[in-house]
Amino acid sequence: MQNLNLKREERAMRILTCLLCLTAIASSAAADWRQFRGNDTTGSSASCELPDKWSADGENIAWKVELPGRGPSSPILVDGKVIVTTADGADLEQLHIICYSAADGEKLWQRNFWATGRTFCHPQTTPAAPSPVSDGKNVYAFFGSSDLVCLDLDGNLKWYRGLGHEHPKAGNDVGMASSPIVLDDTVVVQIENQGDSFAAGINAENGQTRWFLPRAERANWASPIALKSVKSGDESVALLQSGDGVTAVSSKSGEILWELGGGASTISTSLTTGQQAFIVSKGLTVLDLKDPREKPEIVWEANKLNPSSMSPILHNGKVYTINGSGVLNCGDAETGDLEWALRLKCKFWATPVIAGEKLIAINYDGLAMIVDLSDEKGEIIEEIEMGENIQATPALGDNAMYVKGERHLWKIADKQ
Amino acid sequence: MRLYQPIAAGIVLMLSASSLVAGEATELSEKINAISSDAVGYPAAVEAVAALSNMNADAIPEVLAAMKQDRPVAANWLRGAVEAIADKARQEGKPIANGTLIAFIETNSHSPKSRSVAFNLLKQQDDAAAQKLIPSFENDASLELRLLAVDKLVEVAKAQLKAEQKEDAIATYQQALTATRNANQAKVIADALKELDVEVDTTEHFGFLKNWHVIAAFDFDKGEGFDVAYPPEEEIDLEGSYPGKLIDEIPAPAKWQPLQLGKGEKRVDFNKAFAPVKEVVGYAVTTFDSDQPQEVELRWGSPNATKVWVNGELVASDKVYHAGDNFDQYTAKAKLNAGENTILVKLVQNEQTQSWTNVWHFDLRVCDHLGTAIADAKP
Repeated sequence: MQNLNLKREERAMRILTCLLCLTAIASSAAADWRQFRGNDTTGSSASCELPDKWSADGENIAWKVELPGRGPSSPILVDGKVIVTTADGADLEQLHIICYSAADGEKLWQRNFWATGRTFCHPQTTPAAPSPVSDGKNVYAFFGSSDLVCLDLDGNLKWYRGLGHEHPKAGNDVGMASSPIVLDDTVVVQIENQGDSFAAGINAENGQTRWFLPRAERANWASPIALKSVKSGDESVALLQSGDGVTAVSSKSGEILWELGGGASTISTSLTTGQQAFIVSKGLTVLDLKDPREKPEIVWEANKLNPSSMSPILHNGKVYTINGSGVLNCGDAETGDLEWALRLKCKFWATPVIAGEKLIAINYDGLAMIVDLSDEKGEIIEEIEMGENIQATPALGDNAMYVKGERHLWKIADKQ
Repeated sequence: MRLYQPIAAGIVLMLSASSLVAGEATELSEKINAISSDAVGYPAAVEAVAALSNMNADAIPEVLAAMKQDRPVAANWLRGAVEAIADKARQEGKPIANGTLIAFIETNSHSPKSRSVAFNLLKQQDDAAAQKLIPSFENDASLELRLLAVDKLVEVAKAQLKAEQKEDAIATYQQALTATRNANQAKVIADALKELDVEVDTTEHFGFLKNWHVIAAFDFDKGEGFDVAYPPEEEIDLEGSYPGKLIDEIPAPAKWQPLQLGKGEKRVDFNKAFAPVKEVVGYAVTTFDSDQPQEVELRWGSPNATKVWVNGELVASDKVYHAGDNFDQYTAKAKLNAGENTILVKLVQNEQTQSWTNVWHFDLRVCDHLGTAIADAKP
């Protein structure tokens, strides 16, 4: 662990400012969970209270619905609507976007499209691996076939972009999985593989290309993250992650602002608090983002906090990762010091989430482990069999958790 | 004044949400069909799809009819509009009539995509009516619809087997196999027939080419070999020999050797023909006789990088290494001459050292746009 030259007080003040900003953002978006790991990418909700336990078919299940098709993409929650993507069909060419009422699970609408790019993938996955994202107005659903769909929240198509049709060699046969982000009315996608490899900024209003950036011809499943501008009038920054490191590009122009080499994960995705970026590189590397448009300093590096396929999450000054052996590591977000480790039952694909003082980690077999974080060291307090494979990271909102399995979508909430 | 506002708003809503002038939906659909692959025409299409989505169910046949098989992105725009219209029409208790949908589905001149969407709309509002149509899709140009008919035949065969009508079941399974163009479905059927002591060669069914000559090894040259035109790209002389890469496993000079695949085999495996080595380039060549000039599809799969030529013309170049090996992984259109045609495949093995990257093979078939095998016309 390497601790570099920032004054502790200065960092603490900036973290406090950041927390205040995050609180403001959270309250403006009510209980929305608009992307993979939530609006702020931390994967946590301090105010979300979940029941202490539930069962897959009864206790504390507000509703459960059967899904048409399957896919590891995460559900999102926007304005009382739960939106998921799946795929099915003979060649997994049928792409589905389905919207349910968060209140009662009623299906509000479903839209179906044909994949226009490659749909080959490992049997455990489908083209519905990237998670959809919303700006609160529209939903942007991206698929492993490089099809990008924009719908309003009532299911009306705004535009459709067949990036896989335009770039027929885009794709790897394990299955693409990078999730899009939306910032400054721009949808940013990373389509990186041995064929047609690129990142692009797409105009969120009409689907046209704002910028196109050729990328290394190497498989990459990691997703970009958004770094909000700090100066009025500045464009925000999309941070593109790949095996080479991270590249910061301006949201609307695609101009490369700075790069940081040294490699980064091609699976696990970084997170940002606004003031800092937790990059999945050399374990975990924290960058100090005084201004995201300028190359940041490294605050600390912690190899012991290396995540495997899951992405890091952050809660209450602690960063959590799960390594390849299924060990949940808790580190001090300010210093990178490892505070405790707890062995879970693996194997995992889904990133855990934190509701209040509970961390919920669900493994591929569908075993949900509830870890109590209220004490000095985490402790598993409940194990619940969901009864089917689970690869999707859950969504949190309104004292509820939305869990998407291979065949079902659950709303878990205290019925009282 | 306030009293009139809701009435006026209602009239505006009625006029804007439901009225359909003949041809208006077609005109809007054409704006969507006009989008280009680099997103030119999108602003107009955004307006058009919003207007279409706001129409009533009477517009559905016009929008469906505008769907073109060779414009898959635009077809998705139109599908989105159709589904939005249909949803609203159902919610308002004014769904499109079943008869209109059935007539559309039964008109084979409509594109397969549009008929498939029409079928799904029918299924949503009257599943029984949709189920009745399925047997008629056995040889349908829509592979989505044909898949349903074949599934139905498999169900029938299973029921016949359960009723101890073995010969009938075999006949039904064979009927299903003839109809299917899907590899997974064909495997299920072939496995079922095998259980009934009927041998089926799905590699023949799909038309994989089995008589090849292969040559190796040329130099991978740190990846540059993919674009180096080695002698087989200059001339096909099956008696020729060429200076190859100097490696112990495959002695130089490089010479062509025959490779014939047996029953049930489709894979042209260079590791078996030569030796399992890395960082090498090989070629395979075959001839394919066509009884007429025709446009066909070549479909192939390989975990290695490939280039494919037909009669000396490069039809595909895929520099992808060890990222999967799938049925019909790559597709290219090609023009065949009447008589003999030459198909040349370049197969490039890279430097990766993981055990799963040791594979060095491909399979290739000639078919029509539906995936129906086209037979070699050689006597």
